[in-house]
Amino acid sequence: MKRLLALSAALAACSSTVVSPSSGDFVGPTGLAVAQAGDRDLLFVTSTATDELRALQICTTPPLADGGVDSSSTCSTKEDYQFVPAPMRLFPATVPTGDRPARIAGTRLLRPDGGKGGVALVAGADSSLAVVDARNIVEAMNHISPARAPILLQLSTPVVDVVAATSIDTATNIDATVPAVKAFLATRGGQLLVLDVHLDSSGNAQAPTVLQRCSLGAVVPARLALVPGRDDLVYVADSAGDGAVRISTASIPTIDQAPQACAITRLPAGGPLRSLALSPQWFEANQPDHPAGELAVMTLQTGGVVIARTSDGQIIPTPPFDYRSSGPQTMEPVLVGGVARDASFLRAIRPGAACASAPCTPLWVGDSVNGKLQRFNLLAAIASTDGGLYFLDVLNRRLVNENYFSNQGALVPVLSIAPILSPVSTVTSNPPALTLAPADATTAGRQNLGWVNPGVTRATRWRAIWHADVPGLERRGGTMTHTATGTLLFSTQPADLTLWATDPLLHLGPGDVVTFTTYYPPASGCDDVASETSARFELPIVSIAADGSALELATLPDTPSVKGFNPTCPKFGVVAEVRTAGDHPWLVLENADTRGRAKTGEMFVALEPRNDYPLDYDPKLPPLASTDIAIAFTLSGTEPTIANTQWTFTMTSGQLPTLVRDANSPQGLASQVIEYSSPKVTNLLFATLTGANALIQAAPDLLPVKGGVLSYH
Amino acid sequence: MKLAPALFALLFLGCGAPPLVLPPPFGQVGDQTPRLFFPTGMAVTGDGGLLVANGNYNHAFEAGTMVSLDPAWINSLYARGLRCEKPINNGLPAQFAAGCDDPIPTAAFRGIAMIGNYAGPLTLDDAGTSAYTGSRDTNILNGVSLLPNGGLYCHGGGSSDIDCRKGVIDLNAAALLEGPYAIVPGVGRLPGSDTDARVLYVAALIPHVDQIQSGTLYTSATVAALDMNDPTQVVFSMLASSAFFASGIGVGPMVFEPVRRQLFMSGCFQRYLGGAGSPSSGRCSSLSSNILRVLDVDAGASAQVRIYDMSINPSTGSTSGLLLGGGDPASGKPADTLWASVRNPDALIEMDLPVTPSTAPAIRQTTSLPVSPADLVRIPRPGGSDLIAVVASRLGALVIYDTGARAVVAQLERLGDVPFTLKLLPAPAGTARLAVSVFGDCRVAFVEVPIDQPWLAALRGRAGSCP
Repeated sequence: MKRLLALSAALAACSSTVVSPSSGDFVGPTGLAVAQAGDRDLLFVTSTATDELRALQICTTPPLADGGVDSSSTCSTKEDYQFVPAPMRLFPATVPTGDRPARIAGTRLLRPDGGKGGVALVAGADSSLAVVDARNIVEAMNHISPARAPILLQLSTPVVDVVAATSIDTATNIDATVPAVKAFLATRGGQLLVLDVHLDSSGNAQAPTVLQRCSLGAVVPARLALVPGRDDLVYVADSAGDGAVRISTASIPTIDQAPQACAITRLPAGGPLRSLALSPQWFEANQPDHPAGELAVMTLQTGGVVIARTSDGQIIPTPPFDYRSSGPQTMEPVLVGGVARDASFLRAIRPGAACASAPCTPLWVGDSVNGKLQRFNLLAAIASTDGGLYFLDVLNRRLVNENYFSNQGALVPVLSIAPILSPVSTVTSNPPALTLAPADATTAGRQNLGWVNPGVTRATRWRAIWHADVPGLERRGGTMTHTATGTLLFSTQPADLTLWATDPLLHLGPGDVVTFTTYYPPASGCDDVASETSARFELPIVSIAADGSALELATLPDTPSVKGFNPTCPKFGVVAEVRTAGDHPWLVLENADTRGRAKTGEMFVALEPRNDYPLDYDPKLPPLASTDIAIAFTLSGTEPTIANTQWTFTMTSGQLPTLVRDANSPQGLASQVIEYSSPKVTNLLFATLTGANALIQAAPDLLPVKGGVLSYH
Repeated sequence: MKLAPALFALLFLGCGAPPLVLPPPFGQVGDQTPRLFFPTGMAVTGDGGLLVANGNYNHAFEAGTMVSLDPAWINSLYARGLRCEKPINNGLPAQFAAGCDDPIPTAAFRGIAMIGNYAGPLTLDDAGTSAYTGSRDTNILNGVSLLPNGGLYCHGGGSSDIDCRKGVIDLNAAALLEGPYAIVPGVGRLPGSDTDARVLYVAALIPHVDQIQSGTLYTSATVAALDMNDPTQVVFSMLASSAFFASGIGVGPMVFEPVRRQLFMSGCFQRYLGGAGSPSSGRCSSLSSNILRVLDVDAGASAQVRIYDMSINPSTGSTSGLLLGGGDPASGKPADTLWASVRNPDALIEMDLPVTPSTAPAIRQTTSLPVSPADLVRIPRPGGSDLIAVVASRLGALVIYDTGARAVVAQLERLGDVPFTLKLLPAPAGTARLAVSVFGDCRVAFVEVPIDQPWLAALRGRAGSCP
């Protein structure tokens, strides 16, 4: 066995065939970008936790018209979509770049000899920017030249993000190779720098030159973004302020001038951002071509995704109103599964021979049997913490949804488990009932049974609990004393009961009740309390102390059949359980979240933030926030007599978003998603699954096909 | 020939019990130079000294120890200004600055006391004069007191009493608490009382087996509140889990929020049948076992744990460290953020602790971290956003997270094998000093962080090593 292993090792060492590993061996992959290296591109991926890069080779020479391989290409099919190998060919090459590389920008640069080169600009926890020569990596792999260490551009503080401008060939709609590009970087020190990036006279990478600089001031940069094909504007996602800021490159002072504040134009998003992306040039039937940079998709720190016009910096209106109009209300953030972390536009496909008129950007929607290739004007991919890639139909402001294309009726949420009362009521006359609100086709938000709304109602379990434990007051220790008026006073720490009284959903107040689960009588003199049974009765709340330190409770008089509670003990300890009662004795919960209090005979309406706009809407009944109803129902019949009696039912959401995920990486935590196009492929998506140590690759038009979605680990 | 050693051993045993192999410097066998061996919990004394619990996890000795390290020696390490995280040469073998890996000089040990095995987190009492840590194998709470000069002696004993293995209380006998691990100081007020009691909350890592029915274990985990002034007394105890809630699982990290008067707990440890003898214990194997538990301590023994699922959105496997933020007990402002280092995936979770009671805690932000994040500590920045330092135990690294930029801004490697506990040391203005117990390398690593330029954090020294 040992001999066999030794022989294998010797063979591997002596072989001249490049065995390109398909495993990236990542630890914490985070950033990714594409740089050009001759007739192939290198997709650089940070292995952030091991302080290295990996490089995936993607051949760029398109196949011949007959499907054959162009013999002039040096990039073989054996290398295509394989990682650049290390000298020990079984493992991927590692490019050490410094501490914790996390952000990369890629370039396509022309060499003086007319060849194609490129560099990757890598930022991490070091106060430097590493410049990696993509072509040299390929040449080193092929033993043409020795591998050169990355060139470092020393800075005063670490770099938050770096982006490089692209130039797009208008004829092919593909990134072009140019002699020099501008790159932009934001530093932890709040500086925005503009760099000139080009190759040296030998065609090798060299340190970029800092051209311009300005101070971002109060803007805390999270990410940078450029308009595809342009370098005259740079956008900065602000992780502290509202939305993003735009800075004109021309307005940034040159490096030889005294430092100045950047001249910024703000694009509000409703909160701090995690990332943003600018739209590419896109095409609309019977309309002039839309210029790149017209729209921005902004990913909020909270995970919501909003779309803004860059022309006036406004969030676009709720559908169905045209994205160019002001509309009655701006769109609410679209939410994906998990928490959205990054978004990238797909390249919009220009109408041509394969697609006569817009929309032409393809995405497979549905499974391999019943699905179909759908075409869109403008698509964005959203990477989420759940490891999924979701697709946003930007102009319709909705996630691409299989049910929309295959079964629109299924978009409407319905009961998956009908209401059940527990414990079961034994009342036969006027028994308890839970009735969903009847549909009203003429009123926005009420068109469906239960007033459920696609994009608002979620797949959750609902409960309506009679005399429910008040959240946070399930068990509260305190001291009981008597007041001068004959009532009881429950004093407790911390003195925060007003939080419950002022809570907009709980409204704790007089009429609600308290029961005692445990008694702590003094050592002597309080036999009546010492012998009391746990939770035997409920005492109504008379008032809540203004400072939140106490509840005044009514006593319970004796009846001929039942002993009351009117203790003579002057002071004793109790553990109280506070319950909903009084005018609205039902507490309504959606999963573990409180939704409000309900009253028998009164309609309960649960309003919630919208998470999507999955329908085509009537402008007369637009989906406004005021009509975002998740569920509406009425409780009726005889009220229960047992505390914590509850109605339970479960809803479906009706939403079936088109989703790409790696089945072997359920824990996800995606960090970045990019779109990649070359003369050979269009709109390939790559996303780093940091938590799963994986890179996911998806071809949007081939999702159900074997190989349409790949993952590299 | 081969029988001779065995025969000798039998004869030796026949002559009496084998000698106790006590830890250095108390033993008779081998090098008795004071040192660290599997250090776990640490505490910082009022004068800037460092207490370190040696866990004796390979059971090489009959006991663990607690050592007291001299603040003057610690300051002298920092004064050298070394940068030990990177080699000083650019070739192989890598060379590091002289002094980076010096042993701890004997003179730096101000005191050493013997304690039980498997010590975990360590905490000081309010007065800063006694330190406590649990022993998982015997369920005792070890108590060691400090002399004014930093010397150590057994809590409740004479100043020369340094064999503290018997501990101050058997928590299993007193409160059905097995595997004492997390320990935090706090307050509690028993119902009916008008005054707060200062207590030490100690949580069970190992669930207690309440009953076995048809091969099924029914377990519970207890949190005991011990009188701060007399930790031999259990003031009250609460259930962090039982057969009816939280699946009877044990507690990992735990923090106390003094304004809300709540304990926040996480971690998942379970008992299971298997092998011979009593049921085994270990980490939960399920991916969906990451829950946050909250106890209102003033409800005493009647407290009912509230549960929030941290395994769904985003999906996380387990929590290895907790830290509260945003609160100001002096002004009565409750903490509004709970930080958690989680695994599977490895990440730092920022969880919103809303003041509004109807709003459940929810995860606000997730940031990827290096492999196996563990303990975490807050580094306050006057006038700026706090920093959070997190150890990555598998990578042997420390990362610095900026709560304002919401990003990792520094990563410092080469701390050693399995960094475990982080503590803030007294530091000159403008810097933060951190001590890190490095479990697998039997050392303490010393880190300095310029708080306005955290990316310039430096490893100032790695003191101690395994033999």
